[in-house]
Amino acid sequence: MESQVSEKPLIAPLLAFISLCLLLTPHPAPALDFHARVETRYQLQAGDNALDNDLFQYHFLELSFLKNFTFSWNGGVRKDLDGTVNTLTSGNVEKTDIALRGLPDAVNSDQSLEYRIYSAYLKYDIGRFGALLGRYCPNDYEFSQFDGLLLWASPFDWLRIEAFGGKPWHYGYVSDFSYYWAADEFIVGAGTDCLLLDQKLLLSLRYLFLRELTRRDALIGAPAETYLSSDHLSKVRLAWTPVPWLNAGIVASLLGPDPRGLQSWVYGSIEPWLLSYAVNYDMQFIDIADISDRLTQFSSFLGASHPYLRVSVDLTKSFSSYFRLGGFFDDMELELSYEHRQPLSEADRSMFNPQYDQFRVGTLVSVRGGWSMLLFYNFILSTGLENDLHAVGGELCKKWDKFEARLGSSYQAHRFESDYTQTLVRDSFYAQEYYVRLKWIINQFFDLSLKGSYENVLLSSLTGVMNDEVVYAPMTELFSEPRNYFRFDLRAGYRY
Amino acid sequence: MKKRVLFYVGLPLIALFLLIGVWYVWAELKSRSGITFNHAFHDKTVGVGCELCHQQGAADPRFMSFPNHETCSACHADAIDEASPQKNCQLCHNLPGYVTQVRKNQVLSPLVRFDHRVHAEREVSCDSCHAVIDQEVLAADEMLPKMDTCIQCHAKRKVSEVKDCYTCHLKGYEKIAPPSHIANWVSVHGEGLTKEKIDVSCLACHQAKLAGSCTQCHHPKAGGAAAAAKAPDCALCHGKGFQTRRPKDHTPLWISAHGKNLTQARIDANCTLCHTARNGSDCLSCHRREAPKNHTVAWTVVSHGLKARLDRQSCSTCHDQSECVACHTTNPPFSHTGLWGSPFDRHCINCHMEFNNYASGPVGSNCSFCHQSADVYAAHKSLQKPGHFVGSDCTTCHKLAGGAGPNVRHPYPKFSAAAQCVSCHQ
Repeated sequence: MESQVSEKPLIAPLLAFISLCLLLTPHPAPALDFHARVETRYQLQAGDNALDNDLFQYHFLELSFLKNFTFSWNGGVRKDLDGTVNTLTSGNVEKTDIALRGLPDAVNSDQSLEYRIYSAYLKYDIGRFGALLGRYCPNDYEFSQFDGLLLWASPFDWLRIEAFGGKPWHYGYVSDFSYYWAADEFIVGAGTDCLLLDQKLLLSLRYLFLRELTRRDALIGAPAETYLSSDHLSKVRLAWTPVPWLNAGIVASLLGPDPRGLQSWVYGSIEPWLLSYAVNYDMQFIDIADISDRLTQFSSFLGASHPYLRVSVDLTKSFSSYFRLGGFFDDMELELSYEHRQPLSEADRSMFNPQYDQFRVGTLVSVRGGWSMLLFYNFILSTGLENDLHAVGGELCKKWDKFEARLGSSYQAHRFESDYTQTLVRDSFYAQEYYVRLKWIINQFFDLSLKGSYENVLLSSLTGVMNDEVVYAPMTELFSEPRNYFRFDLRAGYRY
Repeated sequence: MKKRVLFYVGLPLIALFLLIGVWYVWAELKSRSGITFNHAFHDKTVGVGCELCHQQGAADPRFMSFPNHETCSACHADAIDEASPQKNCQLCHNLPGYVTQVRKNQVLSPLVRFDHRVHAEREVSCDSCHAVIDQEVLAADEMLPKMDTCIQCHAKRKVSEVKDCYTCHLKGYEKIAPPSHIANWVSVHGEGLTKEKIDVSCLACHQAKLAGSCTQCHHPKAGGAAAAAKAPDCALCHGKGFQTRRPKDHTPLWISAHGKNLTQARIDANCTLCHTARNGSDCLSCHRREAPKNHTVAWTVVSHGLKARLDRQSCSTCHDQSECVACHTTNPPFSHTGLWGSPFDRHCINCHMEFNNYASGPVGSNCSFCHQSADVYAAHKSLQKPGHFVGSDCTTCHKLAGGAGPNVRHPYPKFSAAAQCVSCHQ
């Protein structure tokens, strides 16, 4: 399927939003519970082989009326100012803007102007029962975004039952409206949450059926083809919080009748010591290749494809009383963090299931007059396939009543190996960043912020030859010289 | 006409005032114990100890007994003895019919645990709790200790046995509303409310676990932005300037670490209490206008791939697979030099397949990750058909390194020897 761009009038949603704003102007109708935020952002990214010059505007609106009704709108418009799209990456230019995310509901022919509605719904909620009509994203259902109806009921304080159905949205559509409306796609879901043992135990059940149009590659070089694929996903989740410092849980899921994955965790925070800990165990039973003939968004390769264990401990300590800080010093905090990730199969340490240890140390010193300084050092040491990272950074901050300024920098050095079937290719990556951030809360309605950053990046290949005879195109061709990037971000927000 | 108006308006008003008057008198009488007794006089002037009149109850030793005619007659025999000319019932009884309501008004609620013995054993004096005895002349409700009295004393004495509400209250106590909680309490409770008042009065009962606590209505967990919007003024509970104060777990490295172990349930239960779309600080508002701190330009170019190798689960907090695909369909990763785009097309085995399985498993066992078409799979299977035997010179048919050949192209562009083919195509 060739990517198609359907021209849909951009003016319609814009006019709809403006009309709503005019209709719901709060001053003539003070009884209405009306909240809105409009944010305008200008972003410029420039540098070696990079130029992107965009204007964004985000709209959030929430209106409560007739006691039990709420209307909510969350959308954004993007205007490409320089006639090009993001050229930061190599190869073809970026046709979609990840920063805006969501779905383009309206685009013009050259994709320089687009409007996206993240969510837009009318909700009726009387406590024990509720209904929602419109576009919504129930995140507990695998980020399912749909246009349709959601119903829920809560007959008891400890029980909630919900169900929804509609037309699924997913990012892969990009701007292909013809497929969205024509394809025989739908999504239905249902779930329940039970609070047991005096609200200490949460039992959640989720079921989701998705039928969506997906795309697959055919013969090499041949155009991709589309087909309808469907999946049943069931999940059971048990979370137990017997004491404030302990939360344990398990999630098991099925893809159709087959086990899909298992996640379990224990985490908690011991407030008096400011100590938090977490132990996670994740595994996926299903091999992506086994289900490649029916790939849907549930078959996501994000997440563990193999079982692994992850343990982390964080410790934060304020030394203001220990050192009897006073006078010039307000506070001094030290944070230590350690994380270990362990694949459970010795033979399974492929690139995406690494074993590593991560150490992090940070400190924050604040002094009188609203000044503070943050320093951190982050170190990842991998075992097996090399993927080591050193990052060090700092930030100087000054806060006034309504104004805030930050000056910071960070440096990171990365050495990593890629496993190319026959040969390991070793590369290094180095980046340094300097930035300034300003934020001004003008009054309760307006705020203004600015961020300017400069980055210097070098990517170099440490391996020029693969095997004896196969010469691999070295990455030094791409990054033979350090690259410089600038990013400028100006944002103005209005909140009512 | 005027008279009729006066009649129809005035009469109900008079009736209403009469009704209120009757109700007031009735309520006043019901609240009185019916006994006139000067505790201060008996305690200070006469020097009679409490124990003379109040002994440990025979029926229930947790409670102290109340004096009866027999107790009082030890001193006031003439006033009580019906045969005595000195008899004077009104000396003690002040309600019509000489009714006494002492026990009714002053006995502990059945939902309160209290044991006088325990306190006596620990030498807690009577006036520690019944502090107004030396001031009041009536045996009245005011003499009973309020809950504040218990809390303050326990705090002062560092009573370790008090762990939670159930130490002093029996189960079900939360259903007994205090006298201030009148019928329309829900609608009027916010009037004149201050943070100090909340701290001193409300929070004594309205802990998080109790039904009707502030957060259950004004700030319900899992209620999201809409629920948070019900909070009229955050500063009422949190105090002025709370927006600039960090929660305890928002430590120096919080900005870079808050995504760790983040789940939707945790977001609903914790983050959305403060971070809402309304104030422009929910996940989407923040990450849309400003990506996480490490999402620099360099991140877009290279770093995200390196991080994704380490921990793709972190990515999945915000992103799903389709976002990767949407971008990488047209933008090859930097490491994919020579392997990406026309005429070679993308080839994902190195990242998205199990290398070990590929090396040791049958040819094409995971090719279907990208090549989902049965035709492609069959085409590669044919590598093992007759004619493709060990020792064949692949380059006879399959020209490599840019050489002209049949329609089969290889994703690796710079293979230059047939020997390399068999390393995979065994």
